[in-house]
Amino acid sequence: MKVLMVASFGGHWVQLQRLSALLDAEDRVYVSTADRQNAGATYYLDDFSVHELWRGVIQLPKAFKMVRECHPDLIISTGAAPGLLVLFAGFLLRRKTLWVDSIANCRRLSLSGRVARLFASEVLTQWPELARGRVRYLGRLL
Amino acid sequence: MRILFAAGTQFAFPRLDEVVLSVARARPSWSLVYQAGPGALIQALSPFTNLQAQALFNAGEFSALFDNADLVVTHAGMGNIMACLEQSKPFLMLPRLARLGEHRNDHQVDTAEAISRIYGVPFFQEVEPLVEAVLDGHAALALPAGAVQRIHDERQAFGKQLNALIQKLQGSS
Repeated sequence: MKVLMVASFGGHWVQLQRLSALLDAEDRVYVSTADRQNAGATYYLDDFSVHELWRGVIQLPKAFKMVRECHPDLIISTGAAPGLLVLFAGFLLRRKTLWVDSIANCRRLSLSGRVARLFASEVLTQWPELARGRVRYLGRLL
Repeated sequence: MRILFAAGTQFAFPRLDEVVLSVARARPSWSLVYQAGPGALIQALSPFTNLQAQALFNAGEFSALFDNADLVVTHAGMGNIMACLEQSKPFLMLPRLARLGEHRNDHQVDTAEAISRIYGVPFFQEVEPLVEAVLDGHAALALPAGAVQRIHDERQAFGKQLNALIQKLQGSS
């Protein structure tokens, strides 16, 4: 199984790495955000907030290209908005998609997570009290 | 005492600058390091010989500083919180507040409350009590309670469920 794993730099990236360590997958390809000292990913997107929709829209072709080139069986993101973008590209290209909302969001699903709920194959929260409807709790990293 | 202060890398965090300045003034013999993030007043921090401040350290430098620290004082960002808990590093949190323009929303307060509830790690809403707690010196002795084992168990259980879910996903079309 080939998994495309996407997260912005910082806490999201740390969570992605910890999640990756738990996965039974032969092949992992990473996407992250290009800012500062980040390394270790194959693909990069410019960081943006989910409030700056246009910065996502202009990077959509780049996200498409990554998904086409990598052709993953599954795309996983721990956030934030750049992860949502790649997940969306994957949805349009009929890939399986999994959103794992950051453990930082313990009172309410992140805005990106709420958008992911609309199209992702599965949406997970790391807080049992936030699981309802399509959003499931299967455990947490802390 | 060696203390690492970490403001995060996204937005400025003037209240943590204040904390660092107060501690640097009050404890000239302590060795302080501050990753101040963008927009910090590095010049205001530079007169102190006991303080090494930089907007950003590279990943290797940062992890060496982290390993060396007796205590970490951090914004309530998940990267640093996870590192502290995983390595049983004593730490204190100052969550960023939206009303002071320190973040887009108050999720860091929620995070700090939750982490504090589960692992007994102190968090502060104001500068002064945080400065007092740092100067007091005892914070460096308070390891996060049972964190390493708990994290290990949580992740084992999560991994099992996650792989089962993914297998199911792959099976469906």
